[in-house]
Amino acid sequence: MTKLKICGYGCYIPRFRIKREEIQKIWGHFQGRIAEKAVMGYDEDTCTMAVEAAKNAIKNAKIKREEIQVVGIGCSSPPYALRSMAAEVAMAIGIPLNIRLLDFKESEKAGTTALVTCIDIIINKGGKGLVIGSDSPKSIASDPIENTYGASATALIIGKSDGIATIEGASSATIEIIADRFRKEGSEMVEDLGIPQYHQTGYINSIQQAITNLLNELGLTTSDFQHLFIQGHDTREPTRVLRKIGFDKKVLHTDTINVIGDSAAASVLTGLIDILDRANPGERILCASYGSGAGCDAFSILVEKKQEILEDVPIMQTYLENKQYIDYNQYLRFKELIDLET
Amino acid sequence: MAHVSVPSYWNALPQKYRLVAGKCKECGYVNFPPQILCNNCSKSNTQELIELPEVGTIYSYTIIGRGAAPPEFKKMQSKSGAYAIAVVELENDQKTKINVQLTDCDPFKIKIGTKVTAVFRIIYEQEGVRRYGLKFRPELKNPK
Repeated sequence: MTKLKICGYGCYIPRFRIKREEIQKIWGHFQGRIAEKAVMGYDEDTCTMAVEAAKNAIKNAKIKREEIQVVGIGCSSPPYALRSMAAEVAMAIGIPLNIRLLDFKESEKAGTTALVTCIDIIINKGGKGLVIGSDSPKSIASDPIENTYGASATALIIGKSDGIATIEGASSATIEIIADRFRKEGSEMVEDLGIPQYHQTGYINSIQQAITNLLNELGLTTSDFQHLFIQGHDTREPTRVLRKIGFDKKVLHTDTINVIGDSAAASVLTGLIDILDRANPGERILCASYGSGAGCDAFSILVEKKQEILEDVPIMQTYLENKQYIDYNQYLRFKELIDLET
Repeated sequence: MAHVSVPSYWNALPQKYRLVAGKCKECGYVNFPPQILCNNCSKSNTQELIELPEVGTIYSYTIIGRGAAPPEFKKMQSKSGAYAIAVVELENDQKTKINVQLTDCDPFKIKIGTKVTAVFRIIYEQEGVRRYGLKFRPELKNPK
């Protein structure tokens, strides 16, 4: 396989945060292990988050908008069931419109689906690819699965040259499972079948299989990786897979999930760039997504150099520090978990 | 409900999304939004399209309290409470001034002269179509 590079990346984390204690105070319990999570403001949706992340990535990669040949977006909570978000983002950024636009919506792993697809397109077509994961899933206020749903967006610029990291390989795996989480057409709310064993079976087996496939394809072992990110509804979930795949807990990163929450289709890309911000040249990153259904995409990424920090393009740490805590009342309004006047 | 028709909004997308302005090739004046006749020298069809810088400073502002917003902003205000609109002086040579909404800030703590940058946000929703555009928020810089 031709190996593509990550030429640059950018992210966006909304400014509002709610602490787990605030939710616990209202409902008497909090399901899932995170400290706090990001909440979109009153004038944001997954499309506006995607635009800011994409603009940051383009500036950081120092490319011209005209070089972009494909825009691929993964989002499980798009503002519209039918209306291309990739087209809206392309218009907002001012990318020439005679390019490929891809929208992936039906899975929590839609962000990595966008990445694997864009990799194949850029290998064939050349130019640069803009890959975005942007997500803010929600469930009804009283459902404990709503507890850890957060919000973030991340964009990567990929291409054949001028990279800060190499995407060494990608593998996927799917297992047959009846259901764990789902969202019906026409509803904004994610539901859960509520049988933890089903979720764990799908989660552990598909991730284990994808990672095994990846290591076999690349001829690598677990000890070749210094960093690991696994998508999860909270920080505890990825640890369940560790023993199965033979990784040490030291290499696992869960910091982004701990302070942003579960941002579904944006989760892996956000976790990945958090590692890229800190990793040293020569180190290897393994990241794996999970989407109900159930499937996993796993990637191996070799770090070449650190991305230069531009003063006016906020990095993740800057977004994380620029925060304002909200109470549960504001949370219900911002996330539209209660009826609002129209 | 105050009505901005879909065609008018559509026509204005480049300036609402990317601050596209018309720079007069005769006199150099920057018209925002682009015009058929230059606002300065009145010559027709002399403007080339440019994108204005998405950074500026707050020149003046006012706060729209609860209930005072135009009807298309009613839903947004039921989430946000009071919000601010401002005249922002952009960082181009001509210091073009534009009317915008401010976001991601406490409207009661705004100071004239604050540096602001453009962000892509929902302006309002009408006829089922989300109308996006640029708002401005206080500058967010990486610590040195």
